[in-house]
Amino acid sequence: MSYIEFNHVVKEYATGGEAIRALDDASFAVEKGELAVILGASGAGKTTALNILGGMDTATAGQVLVDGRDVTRYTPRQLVGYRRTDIGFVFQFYNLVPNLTALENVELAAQICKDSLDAAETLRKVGLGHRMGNFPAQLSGGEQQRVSIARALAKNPKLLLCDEPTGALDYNTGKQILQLLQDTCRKEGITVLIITHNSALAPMADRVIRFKSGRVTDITCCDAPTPISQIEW
Amino acid sequence: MNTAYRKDVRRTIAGHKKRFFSLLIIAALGVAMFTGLQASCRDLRLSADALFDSQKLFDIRVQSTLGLTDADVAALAALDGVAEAEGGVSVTADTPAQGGTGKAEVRTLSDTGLNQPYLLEGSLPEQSGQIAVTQKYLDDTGAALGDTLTLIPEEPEEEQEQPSADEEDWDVQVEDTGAAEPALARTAFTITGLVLDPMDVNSGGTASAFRVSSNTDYTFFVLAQDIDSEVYTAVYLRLADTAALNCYSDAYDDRVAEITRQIEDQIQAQREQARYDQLQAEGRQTLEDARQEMQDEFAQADEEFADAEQELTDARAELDEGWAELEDARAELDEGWAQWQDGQAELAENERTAEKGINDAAAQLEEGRAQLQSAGQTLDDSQAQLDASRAAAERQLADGQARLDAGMAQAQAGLESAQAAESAAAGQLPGVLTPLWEAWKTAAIAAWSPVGEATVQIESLQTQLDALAADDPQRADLQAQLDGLNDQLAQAMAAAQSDGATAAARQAFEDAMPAETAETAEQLAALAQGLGTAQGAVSGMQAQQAAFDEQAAAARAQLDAAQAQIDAGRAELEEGWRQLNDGLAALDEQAAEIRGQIAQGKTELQDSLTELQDGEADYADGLAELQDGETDYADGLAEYQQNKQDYAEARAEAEQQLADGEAELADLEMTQWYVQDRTSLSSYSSIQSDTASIEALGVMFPIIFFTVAVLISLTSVTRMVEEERGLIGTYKALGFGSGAIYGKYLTYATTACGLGALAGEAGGYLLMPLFMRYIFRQMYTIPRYLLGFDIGFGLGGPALFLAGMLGATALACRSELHQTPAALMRPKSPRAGSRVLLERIPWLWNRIRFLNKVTIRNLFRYKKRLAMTVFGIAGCTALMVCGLGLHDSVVAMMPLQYEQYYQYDLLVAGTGEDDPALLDRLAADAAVEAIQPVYMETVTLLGADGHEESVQLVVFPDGASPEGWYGLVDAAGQPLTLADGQAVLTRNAAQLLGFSAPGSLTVRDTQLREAQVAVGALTENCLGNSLYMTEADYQALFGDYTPNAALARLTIDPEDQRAFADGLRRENEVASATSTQALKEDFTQNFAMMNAVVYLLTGLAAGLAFVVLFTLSTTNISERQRELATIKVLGFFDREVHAYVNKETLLLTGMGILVGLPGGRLLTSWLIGMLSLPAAQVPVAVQPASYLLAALASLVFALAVDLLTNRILDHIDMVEALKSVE
Repeated sequence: MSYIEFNHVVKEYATGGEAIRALDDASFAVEKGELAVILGASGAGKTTALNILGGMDTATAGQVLVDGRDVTRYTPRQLVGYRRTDIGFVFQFYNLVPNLTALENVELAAQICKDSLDAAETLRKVGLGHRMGNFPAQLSGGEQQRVSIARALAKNPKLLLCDEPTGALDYNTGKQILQLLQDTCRKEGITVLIITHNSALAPMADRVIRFKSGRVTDITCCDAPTPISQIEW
Repeated sequence: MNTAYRKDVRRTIAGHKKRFFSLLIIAALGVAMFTGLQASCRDLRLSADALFDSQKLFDIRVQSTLGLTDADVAALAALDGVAEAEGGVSVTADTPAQGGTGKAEVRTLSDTGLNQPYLLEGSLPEQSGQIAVTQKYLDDTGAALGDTLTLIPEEPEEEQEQPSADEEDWDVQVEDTGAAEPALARTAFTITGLVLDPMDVNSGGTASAFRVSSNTDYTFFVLAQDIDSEVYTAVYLRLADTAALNCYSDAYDDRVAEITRQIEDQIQAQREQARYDQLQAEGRQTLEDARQEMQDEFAQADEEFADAEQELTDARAELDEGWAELEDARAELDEGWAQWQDGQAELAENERTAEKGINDAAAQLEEGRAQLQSAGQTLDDSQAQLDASRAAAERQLADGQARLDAGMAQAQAGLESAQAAESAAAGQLPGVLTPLWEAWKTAAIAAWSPVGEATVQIESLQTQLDALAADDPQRADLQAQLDGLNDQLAQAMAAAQSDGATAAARQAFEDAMPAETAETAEQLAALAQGLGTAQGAVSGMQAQQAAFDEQAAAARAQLDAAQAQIDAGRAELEEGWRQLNDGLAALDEQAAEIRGQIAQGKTELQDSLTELQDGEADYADGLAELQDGETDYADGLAEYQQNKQDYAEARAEAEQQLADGEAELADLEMTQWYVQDRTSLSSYSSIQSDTASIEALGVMFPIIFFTVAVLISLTSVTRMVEEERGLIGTYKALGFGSGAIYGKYLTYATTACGLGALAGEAGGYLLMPLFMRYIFRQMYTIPRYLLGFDIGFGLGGPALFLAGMLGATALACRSELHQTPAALMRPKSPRAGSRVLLERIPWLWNRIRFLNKVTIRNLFRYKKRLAMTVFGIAGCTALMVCGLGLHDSVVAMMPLQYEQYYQYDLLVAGTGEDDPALLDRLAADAAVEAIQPVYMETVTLLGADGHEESVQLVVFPDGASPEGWYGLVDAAGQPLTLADGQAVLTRNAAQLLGFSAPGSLTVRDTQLREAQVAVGALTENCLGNSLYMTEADYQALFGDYTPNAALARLTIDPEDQRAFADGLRRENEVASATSTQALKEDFTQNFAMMNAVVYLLTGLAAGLAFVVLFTLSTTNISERQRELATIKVLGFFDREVHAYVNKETLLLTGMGILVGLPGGRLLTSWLIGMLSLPAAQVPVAVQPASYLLAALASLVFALAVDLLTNRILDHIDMVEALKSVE
């Protein structure tokens, strides 16, 4: 019984007359504390799968088990709770609340969780101790992403889901972020899933899940993931 | 909770200010509208109620046709639930005002403060003779506090017999049976205070001017002692537990109705009967007393008359006596006067005579003296003369004698000769013949003596004559004598010749003679003759001598005599002188004596004159006295007669009065009580109806605003939610529940709404009432205007709006929050473009320029926006049309009312004193083209629900038709005819009373008589309410018909008609004269409230348009930011970008206007219907210009908004817009 189980999940959009399948019977599993990387070209269904896993979207068919519980059967209310306590999401475009400072953004997430981490501490951990009072508009992309990560981390989630976290970042910043994610995974023991279309990142993961056309074409486990610092691309 | 979250909410608010404020403003306006109108009306009612409570206005008023007594008051007070009952008195009087007279109701002030007038200035009357007046009086007359006010009682005072002077004194009074009318105790008052009458808070101007509120123009207050009355005009009740209730509330109405029912059920009938009985009994008693009194008085009067008569008779007798005495006195006096006159005359005469005598005597004496002197002189002269004469005479005598001697000698000679001859002859005679001859001779001598005498005389005369000078006057004489003598001679000769004796003797002789002696005879004859003649001559001479001797003797004697005379004369003279002196002496003595006598006599006369004068004076006094006595008597007599006559009249009158009294008593109708509550006060009712109609208004506006608010908030929040779509997704991703997200937006909306609602509350409870207070002030005068707060509306209003807007917000959120976070974080799929209908017309479509095509597509792409803009603009236009239409409708009333409905130029009402005369005079006036007498009265109509409405009753005489005077038309515009049994009522009144024609209505006139009127049709009318009926109907209902007013069409120009009416009004017989022209001119002033409403509407419309357009535009822009940024990037100039957006806005505005114009018309008619002004039926007439104006205004607003949004457009940062997360 894996920690995360994605079983034959189908996600269909019916617009107009045609039905478009973002996920077409995708299945994968991830163990607890693993760092999984989801690879695939654009439109492969990666984000969809992550969304469903993170309780942000519903599946048309299939089953998603997280820590033994079927997320697809959750009521919207249960999904909210699920999102609140179990999931930490990092978006490609950060999605920070522009009206709140970095610290407040993190607090926003922290304060709804029962056993959350200290927001300021988390920010310091991501290296933004000096930028706590700044608004997202005053932060660079990397800083924003770090805030976003801090926000996700502050929730002390079971899962940390990252949708192309370095997509809008440069090489070094991206590496830093990834490093952070990796460290978090290792140190805190949080299961981290990272979506990327950069296959060079595959070595950092414990598990690589490849998507193509809405299906999981490949799941590769790696025993000894490479530290990020060692990966060049 | 979650401070970060809360901070986000706060900052969201701060970050979306425009949207926030638009929500806030809409909420504020809506709440203000909602609560404001209600609050204003409630405040008015509250204020009125406060006034009524503080002035202790009655809750129930009872009036009776026969007046009310203390017993009635007690009976009413004893009722359960009645806290106070008090009677009040009022009386109607005239007072000079505005050039003529106005009618005033004068009421007494209550001791306990019931119906106490509210003091505005000065002080309430505290002493008799003081009066308090209302503002209207001061305005109309220009009087001020401290001035004198004169009241002219309406009915003449009770007829009272005048007590006459002197002895005659009777006094018969018969009081009226039946209710004694209250009467003013005095007529001159000093104005001490300006007050407000709680029973009539109408301020007299504006729209309520058309409501016929009462018969009187003014209301005055005096102390109870200034009105004499035995009964109360009305009894005012205050109920026990109503003070706490608002008098316009249902609870109050129920309470009052309850008590009213109690009165009607328990007391009314008994008290009516009691009063009737009481009056009957009193009347009976009064009549009896009066009758008794009358009898006594008559008896007494008769007695007095008898005495008076006696006195008069005595007086007359006395006077007559006096006259008689006076006459005697007069006679005496006259006599005395006569005597005196005579005496006077006599004395004068005497005096005169005496004087004259004395003078004469003196004169005489003088004359005597003169005479004596002259006599002496004369004597001397005479003596001289005499001497001379003697001498002459002697001479003459001598001459004469000489002559005579001569003559004699001659004659003797002759004779001798003759004798000789004779003897000779005789001797020859025969002795026989001798006796015959002797006879003959004797006869011849006898016959011829005269001849001889004559001849001798003639000779002597002739000698004398010759001795005279030629011019001696005696010649003539002598000549004449001579001639005479000649004649004598001739005669004598003739006689002698013819002497018979002679002849006889001759004959005898002759006979005796022989024949030859003829010649002898002749000779003898001649001898005889000669003898005779000589004889005669001798005798003649002898005679002459004798004569001469005689003469001489005589002459000598004469002379002697003369001498003797002269001697005598001398002696006399001596005597005379002696006498003269004696006489002189005597004269002086006598004169003195006489003078003395005369003087004495004068003195006596003077005394008697004085006496007489005194006597005259006494007489005059006596006369005067008698005359006075006569005058007095005459007066007394006249008085007596007058009094007798008066008495007779009075007696007859008194008898008549008694009879009338009896009749009246018999005619006395059963008492009728009228139990009224405050709704019978017109100002009270009109407050009720006005606030009701405004509140009805207050239903419409908030609906509009509510709808708009909901839509706006829906739009705004939808937009906001869409903008923050990603954020919502993030929240959801973070694990915030829907509740939190709803919460954020709800908080946003709540804050906006809440603040708006608070502002709206402030506006609604403060500003709006203040605004409405301005309007109400035009209609009502309430001293303190309270601002109240109603929990229901105060909280309900905001709650409603909050609910609405929050609901909209929730709705807006809902659609988004349904989606999964993932979907939210995905960009919203842009709406699919759709084809427009127009595209199916290729030939048209292809002709349109590209950008216009885009515009058209966009128009229909955003349907919600389309709908909302069109709705918003339509609403705005409609409101504007409504506002302007309202104004137009009101303005249209004027020609409609004053030219179509009222076709007359002048309405004149008489005071009732001599109306027919007034009407005749007017008919004859040159300025009047035609005149129609009518009867007018203000009557009350009673509706089914007890609602009362005052209307003007116009009764046309039989045969007269309202055609040409009133335009009576039904709703369809068809003319109505006035016929018997088919009275015509104005529609407005029917509406107010809940009455529909044909039917029957209860009418109550000013004398509180009620009757049922058959109303056949309803006529259209704009201002005021009237009931038209025929004379026959009126007579059947109320009795006598006398025209008291007239309608007139004038020939003079409209500009002069007002002056004409003013002139008429000043005349005493004219109670009122209204020129229709003047009404037209004053029309606009009466509709200030209308204008306020129009401004309000326009303001609202503007605000609405602005907010709607602004919100929609900004929403629109923010929605299409990428699109707009893109075209900017493509290279559109700013102006083109503006045009891109504004074209749509303008097109939508145009569509909105097209929808709004007819909508506005509907709104106008609805609004007019809702407003239902008191006694005014406003026709719906919207001018084309108003439509144009409304459309233009909306356009202008749209353009203004465009200008604002242009600035926003200019600030769209292309780069940022294109960078946004989508």
